[in-house]
Amino acid sequence: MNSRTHRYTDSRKRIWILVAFPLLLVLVLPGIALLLSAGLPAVWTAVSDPIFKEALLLSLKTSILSLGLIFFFGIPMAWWFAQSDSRVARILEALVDLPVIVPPAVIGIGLLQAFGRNGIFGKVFDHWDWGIPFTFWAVILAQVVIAAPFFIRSAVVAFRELDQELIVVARTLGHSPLQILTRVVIPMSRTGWVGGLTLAWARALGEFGATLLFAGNMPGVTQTVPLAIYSALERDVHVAVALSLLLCALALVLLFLLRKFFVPVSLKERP
Amino acid sequence: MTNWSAQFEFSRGDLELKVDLQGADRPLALIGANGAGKTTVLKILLGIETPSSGHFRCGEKLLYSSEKSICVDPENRRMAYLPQGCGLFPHLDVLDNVGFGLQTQKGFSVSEVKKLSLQALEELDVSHLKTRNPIQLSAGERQKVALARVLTMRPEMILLDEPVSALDIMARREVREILSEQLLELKIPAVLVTHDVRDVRELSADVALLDKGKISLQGCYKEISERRGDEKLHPFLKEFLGDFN
Repeated sequence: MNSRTHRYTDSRKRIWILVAFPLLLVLVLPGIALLLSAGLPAVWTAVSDPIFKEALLLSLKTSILSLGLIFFFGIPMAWWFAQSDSRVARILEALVDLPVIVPPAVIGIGLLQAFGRNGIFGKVFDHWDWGIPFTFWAVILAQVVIAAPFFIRSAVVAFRELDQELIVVARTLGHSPLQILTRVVIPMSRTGWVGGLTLAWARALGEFGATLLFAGNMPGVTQTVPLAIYSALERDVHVAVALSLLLCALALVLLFLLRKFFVPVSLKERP
Repeated sequence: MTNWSAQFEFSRGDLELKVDLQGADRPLALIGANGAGKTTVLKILLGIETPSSGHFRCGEKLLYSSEKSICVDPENRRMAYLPQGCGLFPHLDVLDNVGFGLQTQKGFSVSEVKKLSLQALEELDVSHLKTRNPIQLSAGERQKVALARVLTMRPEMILLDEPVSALDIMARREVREILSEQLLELKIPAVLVTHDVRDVRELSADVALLDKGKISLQGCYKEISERRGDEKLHPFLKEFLGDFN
């Protein structure tokens, strides 16, 4: 490559960086602003606030439980979508993505219409004296609906990329469809679905709109960290900033752990 | 040696099959142009694809019969399948790959599965690869490991889809020799999809030509090769037999 070509590619690279810079700045700026504006005393005040502890515990409890439910029910659903040629499967697959496009507040209203006292299923639950809205289970339901599509989408893509010959071989080796799912499909597509699970977890942890409308904002009952931040904004902006920073840190640590322990080193990179 | 027979009709998209095959004491080499439906025939025999009508019997076992509404699941047919890419699982090491089929069979403890898998690897001189990942193996090594897995299964029939096509010349010769020995020893039916007449010769296989969805010819290699000069011989067969005697 001669020097003229070098200069040409360098200047082209600079153009891309220049064009990308404004977007990069907007993406990084909120994080930097949080870091700069939250002093150590404010972080300490936020951490020692009992509301924060309650909210953090609730956020962890609900998001982990939601993640378990999403995984347990999402894997068979994604496997069906990936394997089926039926029109019904294609329509349902598109419908499952709906919560990604629709604003969370709309999902919250939808959940109220479905499970609220005057909702479609609400009357049934009411008959058994079991109301879901504004309870711990409402938080779970809101998180599941909002976060599940991220997991299902990734799992479907990962399953579709699997070598179908291996599935055939596994069957001829005497494995039932369920054994193939647990011993071949899930372990072989781990990198793909762990990515989706990570995204779903991040989405569940940060869920706000649907939770606020369907579960309310009751400290100790339905107040997750995002809702606690919202409440703190009305009392003390510094505490809200510190809480936001802690939520960011927590998300980063958990995402790192999830990827470290569940995503294998690429088999191709092995010595 | 077990006799087997398959007669079925199958249709999907442009592919229409009307197949009638029999086999006994010799492996059967299924030949034909690309897209003729050879692999689909294997998948139908395995039970992965279901024909619209017909039957498939292996020995005393009726594995498929549209008349009697019988269709045994692939996992219960005890038929080993060796696909083109060997079908080794990249998330398992060689030993676990070989023992994969035994795990589902009743009466085998974990240690017995390991012992039998190791025995099969030793039989093919590849026991030193037991802790390796299939991705780290050469094409020839992969083929031997896949064969070891087939051996541990003690299947009632073996189906091979172009088993040596991905190998270099030396590895091809070696794998053909191993296949020939093992098929002779196991004394079970085998169907082999191939484009190479050397596979047919080395395995002393019968030949069946799949053309336009039908078996246009089935017979012994020696008899077919003697008809090389026959003008009526199918052009594909003439090309397939090439310069080999």
